Amino acid sequence: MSAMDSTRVERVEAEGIARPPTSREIAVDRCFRWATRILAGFSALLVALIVLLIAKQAIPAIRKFGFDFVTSTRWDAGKSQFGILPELFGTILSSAIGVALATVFGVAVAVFLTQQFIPRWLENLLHNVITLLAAIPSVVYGLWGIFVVIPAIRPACNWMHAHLGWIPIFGTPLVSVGMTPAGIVLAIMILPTITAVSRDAIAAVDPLMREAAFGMGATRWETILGVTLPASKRGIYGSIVLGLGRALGETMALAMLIGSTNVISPSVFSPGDTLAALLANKFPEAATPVDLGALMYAALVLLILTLLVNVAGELVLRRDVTRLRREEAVHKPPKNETVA
Amino acid sequence: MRRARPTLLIVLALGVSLLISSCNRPSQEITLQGSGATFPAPLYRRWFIEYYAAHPDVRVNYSPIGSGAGIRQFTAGLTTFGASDAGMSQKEIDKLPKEYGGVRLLPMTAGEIALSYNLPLAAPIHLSRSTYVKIFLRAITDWNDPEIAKDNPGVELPTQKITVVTRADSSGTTFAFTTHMAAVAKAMHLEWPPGVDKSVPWRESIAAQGNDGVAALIQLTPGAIGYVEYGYARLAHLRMAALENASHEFILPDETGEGGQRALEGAEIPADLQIRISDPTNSGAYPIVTYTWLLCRKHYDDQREERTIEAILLDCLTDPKQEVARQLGYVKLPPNVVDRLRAELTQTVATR
Repeated sequence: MSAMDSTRVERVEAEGIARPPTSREIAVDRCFRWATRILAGFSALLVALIVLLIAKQAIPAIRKFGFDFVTSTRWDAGKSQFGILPELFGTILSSAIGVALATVFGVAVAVFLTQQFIPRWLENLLHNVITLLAAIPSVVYGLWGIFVVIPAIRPACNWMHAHLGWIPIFGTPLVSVGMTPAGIVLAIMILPTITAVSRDAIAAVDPLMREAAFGMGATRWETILGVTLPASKRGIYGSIVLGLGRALGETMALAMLIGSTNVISPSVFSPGDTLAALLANKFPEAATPVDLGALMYAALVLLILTLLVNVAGELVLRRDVTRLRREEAVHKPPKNETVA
Repeated sequence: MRRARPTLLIVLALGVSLLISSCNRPSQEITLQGSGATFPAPLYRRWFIEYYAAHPDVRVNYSPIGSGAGIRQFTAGLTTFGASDAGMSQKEIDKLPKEYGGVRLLPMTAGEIALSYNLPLAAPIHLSRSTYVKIFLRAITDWNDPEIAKDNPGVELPTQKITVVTRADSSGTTFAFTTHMAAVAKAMHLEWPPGVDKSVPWRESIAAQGNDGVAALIQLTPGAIGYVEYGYARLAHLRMAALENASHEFILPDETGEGGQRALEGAEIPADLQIRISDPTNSGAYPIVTYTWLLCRKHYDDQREERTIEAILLDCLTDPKQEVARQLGYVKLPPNVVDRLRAELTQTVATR
């Protein structure tokens, strides 16, 4: 039926107001199409180029150090010994802390901003304020972390170490810089990403579903937890993956807060190092080709790590989407009936 | 309603900004560009600004990007002069282009490296030679260790773990510090596993970028100790330890710079002017002192550039300028070094 509608509209336009496009319009249209194609291709090319150039410079180091580079723990440029296991570990741990915190708060904020808890204008205001967090430069976050976060959390962290120190993750005291302050600052830095994307996802949930839940006597919380959040799962996963991607590559704030030390400790209060911070610290004075190669190798590992996270996230999303589709297919006929 | 709409035209403004460098100003202004060590940066900037005030036609820019990067840029011909806290190794000198006619390494100033700590004590803590080496080797890990207590009778040392703060980036300060530590360790018959370099693998330390970063981290961390250039430590109001020198006196780095001056006195000046004071033996000498070098070509293609840079450097050696260095927390050059530098700079002028 809809197909017939559209042909009718076309016929009306062809007889009336519509006219064939002029050759100028066609030319402009074509130019525009090609311009967008070229630009799109260019950005893909750029990514490929970056990977290739880094890989090319890393090849000597890859040949020399092989996989030992990823599994050894010593970084001593003077003796040409390079290993990034502590940095790899620190990158993953600090990002995990950051993403865990940011997910809890980000999704909570997103729910708060979409479920009519507060007037509309206040929702918009708060949303804009959170988005503004993304505009704060990384180095400012670093300074803020040093002068505000660390003194604020130190007593609590050291209390936990004193009383729960037998649990390995609280095994060391928080001297100043370390994984926890780094993770907390990371969480705040990626909060806007997670909030914005999951807010959009939650807002996109069909209002009919909510109303149906209310209609069945569900309370607001039951609706949020049982209907709205599961329905927007996909977007929320997406936001977490985006946030994780940003957390893994974050450099300046972490270089200031992580402590840049070559240890692997299960304690979340221990200082550590991340790949990005290592690059930032060592790159300016990397003198020999061997040093540079090792740094490029580290950069490549970071790149691959980020890529893996994104691919994994994509796969999770896909699986979820196909399952949702299947469920939808199963539930469709009765749903249509009730609507009718 | 498919009315022909005006197509949205996206104009791609490719930012091709051609800099037409048609220097049509008749004035005789000259701009020199330098880069390198962060350690003497505040002093160099002050000197060059003062020189500019007296000679408005001479501008000198100095970017503190680190010794290694400074040497690289100087070698690549990007800068008129470089600066390095570690001098230059033979390998680095060999890499210089032939047209430079060689490099002149000029020890323009010197500085003390302080051991700053964060403890709520009124009086400066005393650290003996073996003690401070062991602290950085993590053989002493508590502030109330008997070895520290021995040098500080009557001081109530807190029950606190020592946190060592080091440099995360590669730096001349680390080079000078490890040079000294290795020398002391050798004299005390101790091992010094970290080695001597601009960046070494420390055992269990937290690290920050730059002298200012280390100073901030010490300030932030109760029980911390770290090595910072004296000027930066004073600026951050950090407590500094009195260190035992080779003649067994405890010397505190202070504003007079006397300890540093005593350390520089009588040091042998090698032909390439790379004066190393790894462990001064003079009485009253502060133990950790290092020169910092300015790097010039022996030959500049532009005669005016060569004359200007020589004039500026000669001006920096004058007494008022050296007094400025002392005020900023650096050590005044001893007279014999000043004479030697003056000869080095004027001799080439004469032979031209």
